[in-house]
Amino acid sequence: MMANYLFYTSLIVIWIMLLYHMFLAQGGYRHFRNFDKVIPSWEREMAKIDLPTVNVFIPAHNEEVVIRQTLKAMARLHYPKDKLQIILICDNCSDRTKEIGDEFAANYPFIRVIETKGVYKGKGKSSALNYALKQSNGEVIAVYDADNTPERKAVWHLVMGLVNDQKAGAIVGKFRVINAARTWLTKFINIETITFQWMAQAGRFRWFRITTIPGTNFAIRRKIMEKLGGWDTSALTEDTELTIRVYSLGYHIRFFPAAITWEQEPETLHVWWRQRTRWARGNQYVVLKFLGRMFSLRSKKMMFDIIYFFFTYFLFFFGVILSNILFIVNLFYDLNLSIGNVALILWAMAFLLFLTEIMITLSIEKNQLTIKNMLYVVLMYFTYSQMWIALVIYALILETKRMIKKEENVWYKTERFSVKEKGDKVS
Amino acid sequence: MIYRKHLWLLVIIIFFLQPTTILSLESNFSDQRDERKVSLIYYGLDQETAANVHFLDSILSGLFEEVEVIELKQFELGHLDHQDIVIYYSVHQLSQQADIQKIQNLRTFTGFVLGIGPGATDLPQYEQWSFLSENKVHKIEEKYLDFPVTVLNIDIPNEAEVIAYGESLDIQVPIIIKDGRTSFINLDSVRTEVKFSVTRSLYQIFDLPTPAFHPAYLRLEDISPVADPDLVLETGMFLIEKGIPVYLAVIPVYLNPETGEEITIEDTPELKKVLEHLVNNGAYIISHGYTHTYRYSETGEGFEFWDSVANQPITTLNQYDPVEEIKQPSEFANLQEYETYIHSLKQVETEYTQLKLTNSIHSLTKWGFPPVAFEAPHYTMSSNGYKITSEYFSALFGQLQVSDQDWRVMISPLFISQPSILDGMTLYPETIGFVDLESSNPIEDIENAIQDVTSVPGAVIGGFYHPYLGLEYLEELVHLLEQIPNLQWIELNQTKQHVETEFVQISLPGDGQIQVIENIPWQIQWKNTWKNNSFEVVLWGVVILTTLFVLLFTLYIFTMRFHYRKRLFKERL
Repeated sequence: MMANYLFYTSLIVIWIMLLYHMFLAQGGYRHFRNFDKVIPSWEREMAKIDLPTVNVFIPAHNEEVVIRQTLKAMARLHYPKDKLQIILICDNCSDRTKEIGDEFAANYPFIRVIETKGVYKGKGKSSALNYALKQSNGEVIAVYDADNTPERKAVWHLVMGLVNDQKAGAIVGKFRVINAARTWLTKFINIETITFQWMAQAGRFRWFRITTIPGTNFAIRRKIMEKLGGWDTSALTEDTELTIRVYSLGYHIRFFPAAITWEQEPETLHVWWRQRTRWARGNQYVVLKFLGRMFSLRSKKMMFDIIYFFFTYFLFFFGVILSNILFIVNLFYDLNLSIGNVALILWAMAFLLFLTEIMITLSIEKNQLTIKNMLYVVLMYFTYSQMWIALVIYALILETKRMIKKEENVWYKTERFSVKEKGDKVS
Repeated sequence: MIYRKHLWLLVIIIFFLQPTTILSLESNFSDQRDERKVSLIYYGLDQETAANVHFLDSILSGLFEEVEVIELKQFELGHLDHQDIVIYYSVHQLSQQADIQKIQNLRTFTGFVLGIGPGATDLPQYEQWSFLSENKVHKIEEKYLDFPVTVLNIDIPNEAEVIAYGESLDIQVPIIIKDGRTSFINLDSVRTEVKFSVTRSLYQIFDLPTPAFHPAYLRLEDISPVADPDLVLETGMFLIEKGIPVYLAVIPVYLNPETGEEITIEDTPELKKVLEHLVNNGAYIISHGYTHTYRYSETGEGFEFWDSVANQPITTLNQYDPVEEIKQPSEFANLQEYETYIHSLKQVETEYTQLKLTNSIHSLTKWGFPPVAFEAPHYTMSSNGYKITSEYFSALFGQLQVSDQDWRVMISPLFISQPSILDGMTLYPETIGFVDLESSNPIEDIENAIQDVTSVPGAVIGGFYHPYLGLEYLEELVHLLEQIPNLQWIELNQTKQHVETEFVQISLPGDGQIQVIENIPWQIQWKNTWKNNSFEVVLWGVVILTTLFVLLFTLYIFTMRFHYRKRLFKERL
């Protein structure tokens, strides 16, 4: 009887999540069909007005491997150069990052290199961004990770969103994986990021006007950043935290996939594991932090979103793990589960949902809905997706340990290969 | 489901196509009954009197076609104009002149007169008899009693015949006496262990022919969704192979008392298969309630149509409501208020009983096990309950509860009969009990019971067996029964029976067929599935919803594929 109840519980939890994602997938598709319909009129508006000044922040810590390519892309950005300032923030760099930056600064007047100083130095991304915030005065702030190569009109589209959607506190663009073809891992990550953006980001924006600010390719109004007092230096995932605070001011955050950037993803499991552990821990931290004061949040939609995160990082995994345990125990010992065929059919439906949801998002992107990718999607269900379970448990253990020992959050910078870790995002 | 419906339709069509009907086959019990008209008059409103009257009513209705039961206060001499037999039962002698006058008026009655109980000595027929002091006897007809009974010392007329003597240590007392058309049974109560002597004597008292056979049946009891399918199959097939009709007392739903969770036979495919197999081999289904529970008790353990906690009729529709004892008349300002109150309780009980019976019949029929009779869990039911049940069933198996105050007042008459409390239902009484492993020698107990029952000509040999005991005891039990030379297994399909609800009609015309017309609207079916298995229904809902979305998503994928080139071109611009 006990086993039955546990099974019911896991079924309920899992299916709440699956149905919610189904609902998001539908929203994501709707957003895809509609998001660019406003562009012609927004372009006309851009032509009429005095464009705002823009600062592009690129926080960098020993990024000599990738920074040249990044700055090249920055130099090509489509935006009036008198209104644009690219700021490379060298945070405690000991390699050639600054040197390369200076090279570009000499050639392009709108590129500037600054170095963090004093209390700002060597504290991590948030701190570096805060420093740049002090050192600049553009009306709009765009942030890119040091491994990003934005498309020409990326910043233009981000600003276009802010200019035309006055209720938007920030505009979030789309990122794509530049090294998707490199390893099996990057193939998975490529599929994962496309799905995440078109389902979770686009879907949530479509239904609730909620998008999580990622670590890269977004633009925010300076007045908001100043009102908020900059980035929170204690959060591991400063973006989730920022998202909630922007909503608390009464703004929404628009997902505008016309702004596109390309970034590199971890090519080895080791890097992936460390990077994702940090995200998972960061999000667990944020969920627990805000779960307590959820009801005092100004935006009730945000409350909903925190519950969603809570489901993602706690309940869903609890449900999946529980159902896996029951499945294994049931192999050896008959638990007399009273649910019959419907459970099997549900499992099949879950798999079909997984396939179709991913296929929709893949078919949105060019050349992604291929036979090869489809095989990877099937494989992904049994491998990559399952790896997440181990990862979330691992992150939970670390986070629990930290809370028991009452340690401060320490920013562990991922070890660099020729691949650099990407900015934070939730997935 | 659909094919089954069609199958029944076919059966019905074939039936109507037959050129001659064979409806006139009578059940083996009715054609043996005597045509003489009987009046059973009684005096006394106490529970024990009522129980005895119900017992006598049951016995008499098994012997005579027409039995009228009248309380003395309601009795008028005119009642006897067409009667052939008068039986008067009373423990107490009359004190009121009006009552005495009524009894005195019986002097003119010329038919058979039987008095039972010390109060019956008021009858004018006994003027030549002398009733003396009370005495206790330990033995009746050479048989020791478990409990000694009080009798009267009697001086009887010389020509009177003593059918049964009672004995105490030193003396012999006439217990059942016949003097021509006048007889007397010298006992307070006739429904106890003395019932065999009493019932047997009625043949002699009323000059009845003695039947040659003992009708018999054996039920496989308490087959609920948690029953072991293998044992049900094993025991059922054993009986079938022996040529013994199989009666399966089925509880369609198992209710777990701790969790409130319900498991239906539908949820247990193995058991369902076994039942299908047995039914295909001629087994009869007896509806043994719906869940066999009321309040927090396990299926098979609890009562269903009687509140065993408060020992009173059902008073709430929701079994989780707190127990509330039925109020006494003294708690009301006037009788009218009390009656209104009792009336409202009865309505609840009626609604409850209707719901349970309908659910039981519907679910069993829907799963392919149309019930042909009913057996109340633990035989407990109020008189109102029987009245409701008679609207659904024509046959009742088991014992009879004959009190609305105490479920323990239970009788087990010896004949297939139609006592008035059953409102037209035919009782197939249980007379030999069951294999009870709590007894030191369960088979010997049954052997003794068989001896008692077979001492009464025509008495039913009715018992049951729990399939969970396996074959072992069943083989012994069947062996015992097979040794009874004049035993005749009851085939219910040779009798006329019917079971019906608003949407289901099951009829046994008496020619071996069982016709089923099932027309349960899908709303009702879904309501039941929802009630029993709401979680599963929700899950199926999820399956449907997900399927729709998977289809929708597939459509999106194809649409996007279709517009792919157009989109690429547009993006290049």
